[in-house]
Amino acid sequence: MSADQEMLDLFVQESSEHLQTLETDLMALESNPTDNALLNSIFRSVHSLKGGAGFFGFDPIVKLAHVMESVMSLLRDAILKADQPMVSLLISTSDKLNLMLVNPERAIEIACEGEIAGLKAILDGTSSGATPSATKGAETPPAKNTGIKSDSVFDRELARFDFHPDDLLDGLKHGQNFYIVQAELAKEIESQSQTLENFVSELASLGTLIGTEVSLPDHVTLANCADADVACRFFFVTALEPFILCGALGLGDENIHQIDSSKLGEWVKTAPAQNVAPIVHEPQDIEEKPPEAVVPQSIVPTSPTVPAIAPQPAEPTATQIDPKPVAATKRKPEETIRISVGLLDSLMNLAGEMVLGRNRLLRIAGRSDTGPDNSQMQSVVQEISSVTSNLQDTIMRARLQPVGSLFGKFTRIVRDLSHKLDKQIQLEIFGDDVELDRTLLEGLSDPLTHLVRNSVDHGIEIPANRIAKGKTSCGTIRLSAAHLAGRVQIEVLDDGGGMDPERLKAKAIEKGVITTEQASRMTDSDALQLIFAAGFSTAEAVSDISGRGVGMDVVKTNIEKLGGHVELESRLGQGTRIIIRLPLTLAIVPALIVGCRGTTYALPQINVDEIVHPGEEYPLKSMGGARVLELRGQLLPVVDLSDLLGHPPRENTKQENFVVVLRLDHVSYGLIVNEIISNEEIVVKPLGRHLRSVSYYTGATILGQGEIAMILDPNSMAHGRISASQLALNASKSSEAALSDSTSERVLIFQETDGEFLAIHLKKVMRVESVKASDIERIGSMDCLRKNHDSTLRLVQLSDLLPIKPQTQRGEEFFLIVPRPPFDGLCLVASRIVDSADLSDDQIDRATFKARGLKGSAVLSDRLSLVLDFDAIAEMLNAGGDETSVFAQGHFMLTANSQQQGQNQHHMTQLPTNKEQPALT
Amino acid sequence: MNLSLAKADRPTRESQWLGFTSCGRQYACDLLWVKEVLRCPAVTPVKLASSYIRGVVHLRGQILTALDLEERLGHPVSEPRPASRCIVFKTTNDLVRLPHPPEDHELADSDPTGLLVDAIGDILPPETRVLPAPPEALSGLDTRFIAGVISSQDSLTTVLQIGNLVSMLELKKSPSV
Repeated sequence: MSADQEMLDLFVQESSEHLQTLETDLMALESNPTDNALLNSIFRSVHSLKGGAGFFGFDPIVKLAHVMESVMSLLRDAILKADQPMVSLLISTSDKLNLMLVNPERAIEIACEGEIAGLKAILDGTSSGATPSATKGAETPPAKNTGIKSDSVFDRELARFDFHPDDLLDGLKHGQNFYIVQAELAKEIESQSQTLENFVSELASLGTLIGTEVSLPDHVTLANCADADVACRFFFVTALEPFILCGALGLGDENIHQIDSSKLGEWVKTAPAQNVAPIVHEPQDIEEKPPEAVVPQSIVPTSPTVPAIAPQPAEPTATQIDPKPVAATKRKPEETIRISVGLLDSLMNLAGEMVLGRNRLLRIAGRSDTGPDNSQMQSVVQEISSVTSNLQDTIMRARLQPVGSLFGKFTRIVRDLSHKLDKQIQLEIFGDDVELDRTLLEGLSDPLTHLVRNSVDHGIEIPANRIAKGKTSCGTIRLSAAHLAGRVQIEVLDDGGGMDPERLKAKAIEKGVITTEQASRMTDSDALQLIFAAGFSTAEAVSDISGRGVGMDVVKTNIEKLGGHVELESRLGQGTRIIIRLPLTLAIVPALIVGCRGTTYALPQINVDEIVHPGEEYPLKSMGGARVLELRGQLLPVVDLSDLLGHPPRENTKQENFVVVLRLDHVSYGLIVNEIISNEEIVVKPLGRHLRSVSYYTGATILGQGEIAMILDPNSMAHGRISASQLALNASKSSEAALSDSTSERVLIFQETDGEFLAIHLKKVMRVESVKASDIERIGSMDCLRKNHDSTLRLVQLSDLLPIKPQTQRGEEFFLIVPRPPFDGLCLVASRIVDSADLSDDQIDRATFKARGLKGSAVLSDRLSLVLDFDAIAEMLNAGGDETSVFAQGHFMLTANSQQQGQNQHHMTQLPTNKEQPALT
Repeated sequence: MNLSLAKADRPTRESQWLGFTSCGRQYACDLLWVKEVLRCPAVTPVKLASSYIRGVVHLRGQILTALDLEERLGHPVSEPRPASRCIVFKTTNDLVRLPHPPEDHELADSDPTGLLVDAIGDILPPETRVLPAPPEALSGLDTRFIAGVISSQDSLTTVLQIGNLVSMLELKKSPSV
């Protein structure tokens, strides 16, 4: 029973893959309607699907797939040419098939009459076109021979049978032999004490029956028909050699005529029109009645034997047998197997255990007391060590999947939407071979769909508007993925209208997100960030595609949940670029390690805004029962981690505490901890089910010395702990505070050497670390700090980039200023952290000191300081790298509207999967 | 020997029993469930977790949840005891590989779970007679976790139902309280 279920699952899985290929191919067909390789691939997909469904007896699927297959075969034989409505119909058929596959046993409930009727109409349409030639062929037999260099016997023989040229294809493709088996009923079949029925089923078991024909000898008349023998002919394809067939059927050589399959192939190719006729007359030949028409009409009522014979070479036998071998041989030649994720996970764990074992082994081998064989042992251990690392790496890679699997679906989405909106949009896909962790890929699907939809709906203008603006009528959306600085960068770029900062501001004022006054102070790039605010949508009219005002904020939160980061650039009239940066895997996250009453905990760095030492500058106050922190004129609700975790209250609160300011989607709050231990990249380990119910923990991690730290969840800690009033206070303050920042921003003042004072905006800084000179490793001309888990920080000397006093020698201990993502792979070197101060834009003197990378100078805390333009610095650093190598080689996908179909240049590369091209082309 | 009622109810089994002691009481569990035994593991306590969870243990890169047997069975323990042995139970992935997994294998967790005990005892042969446990009302024991009792000359050994032991959650304690 479970084996059946397994088979069924396999069928569903495989069919889904077929359908996926089908959809991609159909999409491509639209712009390339005569591509033979495409047509063949589509035909194969449908055929395999039909075969599989037939094997399981899912008739509705078979029926639909069959009609589709028939149309495809006409397309492939170039009898029909695919036009846009036809492709749409085929796509909607493939959708229906998809729906049916969800629950194949209940496929009958999926209404597909529309599709079937449409496809049949296509078939009938051809019939009217094709019939004349077919009838002409029938009326004037010599016409059949036109252009075909074949003997008339061959043709005459074949002409007796009623079949479709497609039935021959499989046999031709697999180099099988075609035979016409001739036998007289009484003499050769019944004499072997066999019934015709048995004989036919025997034939069917040896190969595929293509057509049957029964006739009475010419001299038979009504008078003697009862005694006359009936000649049966079977058109038959099998892999067997003639002599084996003779033996198997118990017939003589003279009964079996082999047909030259090369001629047959030629014949199928060159004379398709006349052979289409059968299928045209009976488009639903899946339920095709036994070909009674073949039996000479006059005999039917008179001969007692004939009615019994005619239905027996029943076509259904042939059609049911047919799909099975086909489905089996049509597998793609990729060498892959399916593995459950659970198994991969346990492999991963085992590899992890092996690494730990290896480390112990390395330690033992490194000891001098292991005896005289030490050197030998060393080499063995080294070998094991490298194999283990390789093993771990390989298993890690097995969890990765190419983003192409995700990108692929957008071809369809863009196509459908652009049709709906009457826009012309071309989707280009780059770097679809870039690989990402499975879980990340899943999490990325929704946000990316949203972004692409937005681009289609709001980004790209309608053709008339585009032309008015001097652009081509066809808009372009580019989806690309690339590896960049140890992360994966995914970009959605459109050449549409772009976003108007002024309109965004107006909208934001209208929606009450900001005040008019705030808007006037906002820079354009800040204004663009408004679209990430909750409940913000700029669509003039809410369409059913997008523009309901839940959107970009959800995209942002979802991406951030994945440990990623979204950026947006837009130029009015030129387009929008959205950049998503993601870590390679979800398992490693940067975290702040804190201590509370002697226990260590990890806080996800992404939520940590800043760490404050409460004191005179930032007083910790009590408001009613709740504690608040006064932070730069803002009151922040504060909770004590030790209260939260149920530590008994301590008598003397003399111990120094820190407040970690945690930022959630819409609120911020402070968390009191006893100790700040370190910043680390931690590996998230799942908790057992008993601990999963404790909502404050999202997992646990193992720190350097093997001790365990629980990972705290800032979200659930906020729930129920921060009273509604505190939240209200927070919410009203935070947006205002955030915006007031745009005029007066906090800067960090530091010195790289003992020379100039430098200031960097705090919003660009993630953290400041103190390091020892001995921790720095030098690679080439680059200084690096190696962090846990193989990630490195690149040290940047500002004196290399800016006209400031160069550093001669670093002290024993110095500071690193680590910027916020996406630049968290580098850090600025500072010998001294001086102070922090507020700096407003108009305080900056932009005239005195001018250099790339500097905003200007300002007097801060009574000292003249150079204000850094961090974005420019990052650009200067990036300029060193080769920008063009960013995109992995990819391929274009073209989505075109019907009007411009054919005019467009086609960027279409077919993946080299169709190695087994049918022999017949 | 084989005529015992308890035995007759169960299909014939080949699994042995692992005996161990905790707080002077004797217990046994199905050896098929046992993956390994840790000596003196370093248990990191976890705040807010149910009382029967002593904490977590670093087990070769995985996080093992260490259960306190006595608390789990409802015998409150006042003074802290050292974690001298930890019986590590198999996870879902481990059990899947067994040709004949224990009957209650579906209750296993995907992450390792362990039971802290005082000492490991003998392995008892498969043919050991396991009597059904006395009803809860009489014994005052939490019988959810008890599969039966092995009686020998001088003592009674409680046979534990590991599936329930590793799967049942105590929902009375909510972390936000």
